[in-house]
Amino acid sequence: MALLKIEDLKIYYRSSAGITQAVDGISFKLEEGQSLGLVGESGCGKTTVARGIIRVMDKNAFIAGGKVIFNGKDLFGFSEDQMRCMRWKDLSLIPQAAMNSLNPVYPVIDAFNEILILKGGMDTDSAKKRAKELFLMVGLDLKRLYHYPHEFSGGMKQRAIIALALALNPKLIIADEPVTALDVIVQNQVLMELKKLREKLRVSLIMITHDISVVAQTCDIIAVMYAGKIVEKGTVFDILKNAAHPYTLGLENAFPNLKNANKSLISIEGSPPDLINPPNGCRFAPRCPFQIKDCRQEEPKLIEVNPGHYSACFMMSEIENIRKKAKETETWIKIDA
Amino acid sequence: MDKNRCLIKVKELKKHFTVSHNLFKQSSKKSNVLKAVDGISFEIAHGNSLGLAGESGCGKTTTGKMLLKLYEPTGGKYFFNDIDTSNIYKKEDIKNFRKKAQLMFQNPFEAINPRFTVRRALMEPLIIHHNGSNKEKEDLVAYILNKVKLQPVKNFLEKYPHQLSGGQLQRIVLARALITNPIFLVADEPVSMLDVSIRAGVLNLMRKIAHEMKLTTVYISHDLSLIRYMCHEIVIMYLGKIVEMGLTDEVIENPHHPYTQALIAAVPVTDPEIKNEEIKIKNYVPSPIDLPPGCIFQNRCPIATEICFRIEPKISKINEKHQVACHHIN
Repeated sequence: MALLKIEDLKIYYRSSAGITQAVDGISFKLEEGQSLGLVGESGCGKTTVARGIIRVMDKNAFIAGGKVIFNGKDLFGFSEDQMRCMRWKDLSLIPQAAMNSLNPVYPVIDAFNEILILKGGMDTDSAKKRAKELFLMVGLDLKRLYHYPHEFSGGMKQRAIIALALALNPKLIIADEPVTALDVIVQNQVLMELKKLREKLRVSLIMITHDISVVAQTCDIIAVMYAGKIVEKGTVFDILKNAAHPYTLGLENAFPNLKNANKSLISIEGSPPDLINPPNGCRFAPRCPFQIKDCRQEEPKLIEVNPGHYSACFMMSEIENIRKKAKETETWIKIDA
Repeated sequence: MDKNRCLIKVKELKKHFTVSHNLFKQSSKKSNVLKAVDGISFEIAHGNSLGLAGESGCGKTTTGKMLLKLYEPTGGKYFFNDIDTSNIYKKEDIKNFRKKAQLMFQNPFEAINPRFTVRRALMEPLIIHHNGSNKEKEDLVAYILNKVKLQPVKNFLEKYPHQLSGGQLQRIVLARALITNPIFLVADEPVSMLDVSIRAGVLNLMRKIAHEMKLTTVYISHDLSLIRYMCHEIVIMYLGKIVEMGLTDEVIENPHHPYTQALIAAVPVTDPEIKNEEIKIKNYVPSPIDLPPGCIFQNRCPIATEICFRIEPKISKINEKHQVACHHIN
């Protein structure tokens, strides 16, 4: 049985301009111990998915449909109180800009105490013991427990937050851009730490990021999101070695590669659609150089291209040709939007 | 005249800030010196591009600001087009310098006055620097918008910043920097606020325009792959000093300084078949107020020996195109 199963999840935002269909019918599965990378540009709905799963959404957001099944239980059937009991213990969230989520007026140990004592029901002594254990686990100096957040560097704060997320042995951690604000060396250290801990503790991970290379290094499977939909999903190898959706191919073209000086970068012209009035048909069609008539009328469903590898594109029959053409700059230059 | 004349020549440039120890007592006796940039030297030839790389706090932005005379250096010399810039202090001279040396900001969402239309934002530099008629100015605005590929121009002129996307705004920021026809441009993290799919467009455009206008450019970025894509030469900074510099390809293919090696190894690889190694560098960056003696990198360096704790390594050539500051180059 999958640890987490998301079926046709829809989360919309209300605003004076109308209803934004931020997440519009996405489905994926995550097995125990697996790590999933949720990749996409800003505004594609990836953070909304994370916050929807753990149900800490903005006030104007609402669930418009779908199911989140965690460990066999339908989370949307849970009351707020029941949800509160799940957080930290069963699933925890490392929020975006986690570095700013430690309370600046309390020493870091207080944050641990709060969770271990209030949520975990530990007494002061065992909480202290556990906090020390966690600090050692993420490679932080024990005397740091009594320091205030401002005395920590960015990387150290990020480690502390990871330790906090692991405090009550959750089965699933959702990490929203966990390394985006960090320098490369620290980023490498934090990612390595996260990877080791995940393997040791067999905890599942959803990693949300815009950086394909971070996912390539840490995840087993990838789901690529565009404008509130999953356009492609599969293993890391499927997506990065054998992409089968024009958007994914375009993203790969846009990444500078340190090791390959001769690769010229190609951008995807245009910008993502307005999600209050999304276009008919495929949401990527207005920017897609391979669009056909059907793309603007009917929405493509995810189809299995290879076992376990899905792509939502009508042009699957010509994918070999598309892969070849996608490498050429001319292909992407002029598309009438 | 020498053919390889350099536009930018920097010698032992320094910028030190005095920081007060106590937040609430500004005049506290105990004030410390933060050495943001501490004796750096490099040259940029006409039309070349140089990348300043390093982690946050290494002094790359401070260097950029000194190159634009937004900060006055604490020590050292800076020659711009063979003119000692410490002699540029008269109002008229500074105005002239600003016309030639421009800055492209990091965050396009904050760099443009939200109450200005695109036309007004681009007019601003012309109002200050251009003596021509209104018609001439209007023509220049249209010309530069065409140049940054915001076409058809008439669709953009009356737009406000909130009506434009990040990529379009960054093009406006670029256009505004270029409208005075500068010869030198500093771009501070020009695409870090943009989405990946549109970054490439802005970068390609900058490359093309720099080539067309024979601009000398400095890119400030923590992203080595971006610098490799954009720059002829690279300078790697650590705690206000240059640890390694040279031709970009040479430095990235063949890094000699242990810090550069770590930086390069830490960049995540997009290929899932190649796994990044764990970086062997321990500890954290020391405080720039209280620097250790000897080599600045000694407390984190995996190959440091006794000499590194005593004597600061001088930057020296390992070949014509590559310089390193390390005692253990071999």
